[in-house]
Amino acid sequence: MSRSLLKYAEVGLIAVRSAWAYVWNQLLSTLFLVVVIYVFVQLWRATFAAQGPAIDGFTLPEMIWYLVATEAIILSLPRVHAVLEQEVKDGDLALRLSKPYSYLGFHYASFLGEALVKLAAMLVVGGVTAYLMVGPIPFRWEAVPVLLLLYLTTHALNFFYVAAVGLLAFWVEEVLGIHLLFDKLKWILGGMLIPIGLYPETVRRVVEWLPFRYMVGGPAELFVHFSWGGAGALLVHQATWSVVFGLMCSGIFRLGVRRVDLNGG
Amino acid sequence: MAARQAAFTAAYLKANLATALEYRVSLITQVLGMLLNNGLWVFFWALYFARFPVLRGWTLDDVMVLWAVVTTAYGLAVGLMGNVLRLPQLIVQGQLDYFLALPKNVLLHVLVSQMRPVHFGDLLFGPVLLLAVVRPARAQVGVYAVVTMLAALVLLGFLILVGSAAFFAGNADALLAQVVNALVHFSTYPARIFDGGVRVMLYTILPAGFVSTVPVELVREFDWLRLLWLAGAAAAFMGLGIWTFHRGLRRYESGNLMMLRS
Repeated sequence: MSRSLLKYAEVGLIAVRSAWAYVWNQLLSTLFLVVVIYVFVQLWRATFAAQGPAIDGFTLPEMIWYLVATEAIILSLPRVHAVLEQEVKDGDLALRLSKPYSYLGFHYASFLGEALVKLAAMLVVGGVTAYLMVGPIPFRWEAVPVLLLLYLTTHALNFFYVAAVGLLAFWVEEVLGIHLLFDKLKWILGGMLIPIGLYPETVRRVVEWLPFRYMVGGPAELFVHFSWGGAGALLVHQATWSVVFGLMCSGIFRLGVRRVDLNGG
Repeated sequence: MAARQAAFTAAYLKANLATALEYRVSLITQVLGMLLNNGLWVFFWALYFARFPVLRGWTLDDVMVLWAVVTTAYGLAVGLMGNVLRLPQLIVQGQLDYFLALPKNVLLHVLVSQMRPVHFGDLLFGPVLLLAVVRPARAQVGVYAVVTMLAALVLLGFLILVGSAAFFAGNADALLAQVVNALVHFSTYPARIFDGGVRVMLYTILPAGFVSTVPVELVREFDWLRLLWLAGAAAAFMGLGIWTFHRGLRRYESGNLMMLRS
């Protein structure tokens, strides 16, 4: 078992080194994050000017740092669905199936490695932008190891969710439309742009039952308002949904791989 | 000449549509996905305005009109003229050779030779949102149609301008991607929330204001001067884009790269 885990750890490390080699590209691609943060600072400045210094326990700086956290989570995720779709379409899947590793395990480790480098770039650029525009927020530095652990669990949950969509390429080939739908569901119902606490009561009650807040908004809220109880509760929810999506992913893969036709030449 | 070019464009659009319809399931999932994608963004604004009913004089209806204009304009400019986002790639890879050898307007031919079916969802979303949800007066629907066409021309002209940078600066793919992202992002928020230099920028070097805010203000309250301003912006950006493309074409060098045309 430990040798098996070392295999995937090595895959992850290679992905980190590969992504690090293009770290300037990663930093350049974060220019979009600067635009997003700037736009939302203007939006929330206008909102807070009309509403007062705090809205549901969030001040303006906390709202912006919440956005930095959600954007860092979302934008650090590699385009899993696109890679899986491409591998199914052009047959690279066949190369992976013949190797002594789990197809999903390989991709998870590889994407985690890339995601860690992207996360670092997003946090640096997003953090500097937020700091310059709205200033710092009180932050509990002792919570950093737990927040890093939560990023790993958040990434796993997001990976299984997006990979399940990408694996639908076994049936539909082009998964872009399906991905757009499920991705935006995650964004909107996960609290990517505004904290879920600000949603109307009826929507909040629905969102409580869905996995999306544990993929995006939940970790981001802990980044801004950390509590040990909140971290524990989030970990439990993420573990539960990870098992659900992990099983779904595995099931879709097993069913899909039976449909694979390999042509020689 | 204009009639022949219009007929040529129509023929290409028909052929591209027929190609897209060959992969019906893929087309339907892409279009539905985009419709739902846009719908979820409108849902986000519905959540925001449920809590904060007015944003610098704008209400939910205004934001929905904004989304109706922007999505349809994007569908027209990028969906139907599918190669506009690939201009840098075509230029750098020497793929303009094919178009140069044919007796048609090069820029028009490049733009219409490909469609992006996923943006049919954008094309449909605007009218559906406007007619089914906003339900404006009949006159406002007419204004919407006109201002959306003008917004599409502003967008198209701007994208041609930025894409043509590849003639002068080489590989401009990354630049175009960042600029498009910024333009789309700024377009989907009311320009009123921005102040000072940024607001000026949104009506000049990054014309998001002409793609979204001015059209919405015209639908809210029609004004001939404002319409003239929007039409002027459309003419200016299209003119500048076409001029830049043709200036850049004089510097174009073919490559010997053998490529399959797709």
